[in-house]
Amino acid sequence: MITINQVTKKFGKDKIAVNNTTWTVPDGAITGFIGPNGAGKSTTLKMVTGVLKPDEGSIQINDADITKNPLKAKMQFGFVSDTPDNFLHLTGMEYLNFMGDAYKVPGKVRKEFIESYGKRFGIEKSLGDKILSYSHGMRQKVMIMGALIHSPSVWILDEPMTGLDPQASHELKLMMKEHAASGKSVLFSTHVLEVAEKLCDNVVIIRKGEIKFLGSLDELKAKFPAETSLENIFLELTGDGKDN
Amino acid sequence: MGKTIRLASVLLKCSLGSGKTDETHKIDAKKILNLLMLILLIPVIVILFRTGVGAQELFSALEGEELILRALLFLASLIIFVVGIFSCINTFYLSSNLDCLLVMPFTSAQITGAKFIVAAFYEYYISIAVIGPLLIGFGYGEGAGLLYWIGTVLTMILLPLLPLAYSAIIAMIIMRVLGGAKNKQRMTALGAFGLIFASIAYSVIGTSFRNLKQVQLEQVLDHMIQMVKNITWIFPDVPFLVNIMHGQDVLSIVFALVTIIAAMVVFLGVAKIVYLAGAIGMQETSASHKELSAEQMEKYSRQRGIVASYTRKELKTVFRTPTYYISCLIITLGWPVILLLPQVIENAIGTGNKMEWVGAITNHITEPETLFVMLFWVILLVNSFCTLLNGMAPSAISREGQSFFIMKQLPVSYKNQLKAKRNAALVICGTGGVLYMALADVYFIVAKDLPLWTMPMTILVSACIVFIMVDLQMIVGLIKPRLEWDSEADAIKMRAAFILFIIIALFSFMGLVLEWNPFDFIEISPWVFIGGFCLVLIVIAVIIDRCFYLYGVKKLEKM
Ligand SMILES: Nc1ncnc2c1ncn2[C@@H]1O[C@H](COP(=O)(O)OP(=O)(O)O)[C@@H](O)[C@H]1O
Ligand SMILES: [Mg+2]
Repeated sequence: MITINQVTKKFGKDKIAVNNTTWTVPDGAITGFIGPNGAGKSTTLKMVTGVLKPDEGSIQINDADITKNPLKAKMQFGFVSDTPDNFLHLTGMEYLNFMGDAYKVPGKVRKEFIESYGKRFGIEKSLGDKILSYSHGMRQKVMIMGALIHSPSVWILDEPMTGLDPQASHELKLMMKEHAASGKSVLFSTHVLEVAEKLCDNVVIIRKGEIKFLGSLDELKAKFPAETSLENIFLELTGDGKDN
Repeated sequence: MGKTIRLASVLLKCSLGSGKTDETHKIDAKKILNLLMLILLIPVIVILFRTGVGAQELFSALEGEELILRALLFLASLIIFVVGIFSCINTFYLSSNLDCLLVMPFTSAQITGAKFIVAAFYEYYISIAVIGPLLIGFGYGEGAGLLYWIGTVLTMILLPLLPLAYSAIIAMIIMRVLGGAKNKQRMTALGAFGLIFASIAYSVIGTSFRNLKQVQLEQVLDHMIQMVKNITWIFPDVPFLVNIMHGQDVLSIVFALVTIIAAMVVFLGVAKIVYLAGAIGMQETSASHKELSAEQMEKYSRQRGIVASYTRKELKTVFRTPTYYISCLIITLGWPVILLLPQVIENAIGTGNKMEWVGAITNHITEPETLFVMLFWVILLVNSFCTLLNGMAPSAISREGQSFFIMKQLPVSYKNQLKAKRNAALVICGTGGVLYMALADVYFIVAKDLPLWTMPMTILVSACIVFIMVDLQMIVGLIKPRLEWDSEADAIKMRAAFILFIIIALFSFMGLVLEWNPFDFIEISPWVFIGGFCLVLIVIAVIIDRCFYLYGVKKLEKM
């Protein structure tokens, strides 16, 4: 459960990246955070994860406020950023173990997790190599594993499908569904509509830092009965996208 | 604590990791380069060792052993402190893994603690390469006992910690104070801060030394005792460390440890209050999102020659990336300000002894030949300082990082790309070296009646030296570029240059202090010699330039 309450973020004096947004990510569901490039998705997710500080408003992860009680809040979520190029000089295994230590995951649980997820993603043979030698998709997979190693109750992903091959993105979608099915929450941003359409229980549509719609997919379609496809609705809501 | 150390080991692994993905190659260019550095380092260590032995001999006669040890450790602490401010800002705030760490459940004490260990790690080369040999030489000369050697080892390990804790505190406070400012202003303000700070430090130390010159030799020791006593309180661990080594006092080990732990506690306390606030949103820059005006459009889209345009791109990148800005720009272009500002301040307050320190050095030299020779050593020192401690050239390729492949895709010949990168380095190093040399010339010509034609000559010599060194450093940078870094700071590690600089500095200082005149040996007029020297320099420059392109193009093709 994530609660975002009247959050605003400015860059410089004039540029408002996120403008007074209020919404929630419920448990037991997958929430898609959709918007054209530059809409403010990454900025919002960075505020949710404590990398940026909101200028106004507050954000709670479950019951912990990310600015007031960051440590507790950070224990509750796993985050997959849009750039997987971190800790390049560690091996995949070293990285995962480090994440395990950071989130205080017991050794046995850790080992089982790494084995099963390594297999699912098909990278178990590469875990001994440096992340440096991985392709973009492989790096992404290791980062996803690192984010899930402590089985967080909230899972946040920024443009996670970018660079994944069809099998991997299928596997990732499955994982997200499993995660939601076990009563936990998933929040991911994307600008790819098909993904959102197939995967999401709820969608939040953002444009120029403002929330244009929030609700379930059915509600969205009910609101625009005239439009035939999600793409048209999306274009209707976000303009031509050339306004960032 | 456990988490801090775990994090530190991960961060260290990340920043020390070699650029290779497979470690099967036994001998590669990097290893050879390291070996070369090691070989170059040997004479430095030997010189330092013998200096230690000599100092022991000299000061034991004067019963000033404790004093000289104190002075030495104090000086080392001071250097670590000043260098540390920059490296703390780099590791604490500007590394790209910061975003990852902020997302994870670490306290600010854990993050700063780990990053402190990383920063300390880099200070240990001062400890090992400079303090170590000196202390070992000193102990050898003294025929010291076991406790001295224990003290030496402890000193090498502990000494960097306290000054670095100071640097970290100052770095965090600076970043917190400037937290509201956006990137560019912040960095500029930071530069100003650093310069003002360094000039104050310089002014304090400078004053002490200047007074030193005026007293009689017999009083030198008394004076030094006073001075060292007056200033060592700044680093309170120094007296204890000296006590272990010289006073043979076991209890001082405890005191030294307590002092350092106290400093660490204060540091972590400050970190807890100010670190996160400064670190969060470090990546923010302001974006105006105004449409470009027609004029700007015109200006930006004007066509230029490719090398010129590429050079501008290089310079802009450096100007706009905080890490590069600090290590490539401020350090080079800022130092004359460090030298001049105290003078200006003193003059302004009216206590000014208008450039007397330069006068004091040069007053007793009257014949222009000697002066010219002195000038030559200064040129060598200043220009090697400007170029070798500047990261522009050696990091030229590494700066590209993972977007290196773009270099390969551009429809621009490798030679032109290399030339552009070289030129960018030349612009900055050249401004640093040649411009200030020209200023020094004006002084020598006006105040010291050096003939007017020394001006073009010195400028020519310094231009040649800068050119050669930049080319050499470009080659060094090409040998084993680091393209896979975790933070920009990794791209500009310059240990090789540091060592080379120490060597040249040692020689120049010896030349200056001994008024060592190479022309005495060959008995030709220094003017003829310098003329010939210029010619040789130009020839060397041309040859090295050829080699640089030959090697560079080949290397880029292979990468
Ligand atoms: N560090 C930054 N400095 C200035 N402006 C930024 C920064 N990061 C993002 N922005 C601006 O904020 C807006 C939202 O960006 P972002 O959240 O990254 O968009 P996206 O929805 O594509 O993830 C954009 O207009 C972008 O220009
Ligand atoms: Mg984004």
